[in-house]
Amino acid sequence: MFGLKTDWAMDVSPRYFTLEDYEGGVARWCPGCGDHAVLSAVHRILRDQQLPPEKVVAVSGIGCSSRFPHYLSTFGFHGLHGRALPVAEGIKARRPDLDVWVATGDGDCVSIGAGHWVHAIRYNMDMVVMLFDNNVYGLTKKQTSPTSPKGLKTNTHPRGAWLPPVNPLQATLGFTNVSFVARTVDWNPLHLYATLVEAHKHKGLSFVQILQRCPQYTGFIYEELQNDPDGLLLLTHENGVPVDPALDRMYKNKLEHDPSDIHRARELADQHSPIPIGIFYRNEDRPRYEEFSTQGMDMTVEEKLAGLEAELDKFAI
Amino acid sequence: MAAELLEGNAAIAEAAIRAGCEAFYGYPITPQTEVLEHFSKRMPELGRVFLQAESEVASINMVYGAASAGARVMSSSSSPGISLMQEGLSYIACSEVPAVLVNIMRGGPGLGNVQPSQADYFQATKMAGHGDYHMIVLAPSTVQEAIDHVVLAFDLAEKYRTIAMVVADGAIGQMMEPAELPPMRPVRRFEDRPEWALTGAKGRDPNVITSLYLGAENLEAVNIRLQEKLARIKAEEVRWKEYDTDDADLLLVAFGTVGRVCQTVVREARAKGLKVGLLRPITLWPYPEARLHELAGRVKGVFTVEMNAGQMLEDVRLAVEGQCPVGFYGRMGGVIPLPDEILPKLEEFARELGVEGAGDGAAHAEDADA
Repeated sequence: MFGLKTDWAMDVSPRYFTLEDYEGGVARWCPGCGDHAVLSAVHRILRDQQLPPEKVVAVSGIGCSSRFPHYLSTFGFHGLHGRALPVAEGIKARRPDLDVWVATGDGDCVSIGAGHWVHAIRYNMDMVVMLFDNNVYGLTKKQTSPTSPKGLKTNTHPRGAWLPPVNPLQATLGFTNVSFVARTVDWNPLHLYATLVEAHKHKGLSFVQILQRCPQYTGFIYEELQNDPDGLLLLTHENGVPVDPALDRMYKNKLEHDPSDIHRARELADQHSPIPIGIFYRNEDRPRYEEFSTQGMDMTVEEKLAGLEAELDKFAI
Repeated sequence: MAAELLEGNAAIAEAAIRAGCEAFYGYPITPQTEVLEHFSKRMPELGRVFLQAESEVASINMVYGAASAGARVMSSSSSPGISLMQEGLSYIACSEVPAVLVNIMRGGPGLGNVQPSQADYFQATKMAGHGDYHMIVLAPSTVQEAIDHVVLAFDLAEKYRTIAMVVADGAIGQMMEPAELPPMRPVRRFEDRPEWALTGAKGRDPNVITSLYLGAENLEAVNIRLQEKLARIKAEEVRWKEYDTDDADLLLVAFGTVGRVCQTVVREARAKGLKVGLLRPITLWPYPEARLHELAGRVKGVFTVEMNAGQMLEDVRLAVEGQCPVGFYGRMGGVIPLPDEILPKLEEFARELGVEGAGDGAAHAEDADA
């Protein structure tokens, strides 16, 4: 910035990626589905960060949101129901150079994949996990999900779901080695984008719950929140989601929350009225499994042999 | 009771309810979800259990638990979900508790698709899980048979303390046709539960249900008992249907949806002068091998048609034991073969064998040009 370097031309990337470089097929989600908004936010982040498409991999399980990798022209993995996280871990454990984005849903992650969820948080591998939470099974046409609100009438609970829903943030903040927890909403592109940027920046597993509209089956759940920003509480802090002036104007309810405070984060995760959005917790000092699993990956055979010899020499008499 | 227009999946659920099913544990998966949706409506109003589990693994273990307590219970799923249940099935088989499972098969392997398929034949008949065992496997070809088989499955499962599986496919699960439901049986009273069940040990020694038998001789003894039971099932429970086999020169073998398609093939072939019969296995395990062996000794060739790459074909060959040539036609990935495509293949097979009435193939060459 302060004077040109002589070799300044060398700093210019030989490739510039446009949005088209990240866009895959035409998204086949219902009109008005919140998944479209998340997809365009991710397209924009990839473009804005100029991430080489061949270094990005989107991993998903099964469900509506798990069609996500089909709509990116990066590497993609559309896998097994509930197993998005272990697949992503398999990739990251040996390919730390890849940018891993996981698309999972309230059925995929909170129901059938719940066991993997606990351990993914503990492994804390560097990846962005987007929980598309629409409170219902959409792909199989309206069955109860673990996050369905009590009383929701579905095809498997025609008289209404009668258990209280799982609170994914409360659960995640309780798992050992948690390092990044945030919540955002699909209908506010500014906050969605800014939250996912922070999640991507974070070194470790970033767990982001995205409150997501399903106009087909549960549209009414978020309708009020969408129309009345006062139902949401914007978490602000210098280490939180940066607050754009437009966001600042939109949300009357704001709360300064230091994301390093896990106890306060847990209290906030339990709060429902208004619903807090933003970064609940972030801590980059947590161990990441890929630091361990990729040890020695860059060493040549000669270097490894030399290391082995050095170790053996310690026992030489 | 009169026949009514019923959807396969809902009919399966209602049949189970009428057979006295006390509890259903399941998880959504296309094309089977309507089974659990029907249970979710009916079970609470009857004061019985419907539980949407967190996964298929949970579902089968809930079945395992409830069956151990002596309750009449079942689960259902579609191919990928059945794969998840395989561990539980093996444990249930070794513990010898009765359980009913319905597989509305879809195209595989992997996630595959949601179209009708028969690609789980091996899984159902040979490798439901690890260890030496078989499940009783029933293959309906109509909604009516699906209803009847579910009721039969409960009775067989309890008679032999084993797993009885009904393998239908997406076509049977999703289609509607007239069928008659059985009368409502009462749920078994608590005091009528079997003596091996976990019903509380008041006044008797406790029952322990397990599949763990340390020591090779101990486990071998259990296996010998299981094999004796399987031999009894093989001797007593083989079921099949035959169509026009009396004077047949050629025998078709097909089960389920494609078994039904082959009934049309038999009619059309006979209209053209080719004497074709059909053996349609109802129990895929135990397989009607003795009857097939007998028929194979009388015909000039056996032709197997399946909605897979040729899985039952292996059992057909084992039963035929080289008495005559065995042909095969199959479609994969969820494609249902139609009579129009099966018949030319059958005629080609007949010509190779020099069967009377097979024609010279000229007519079909013209068809192909058209």
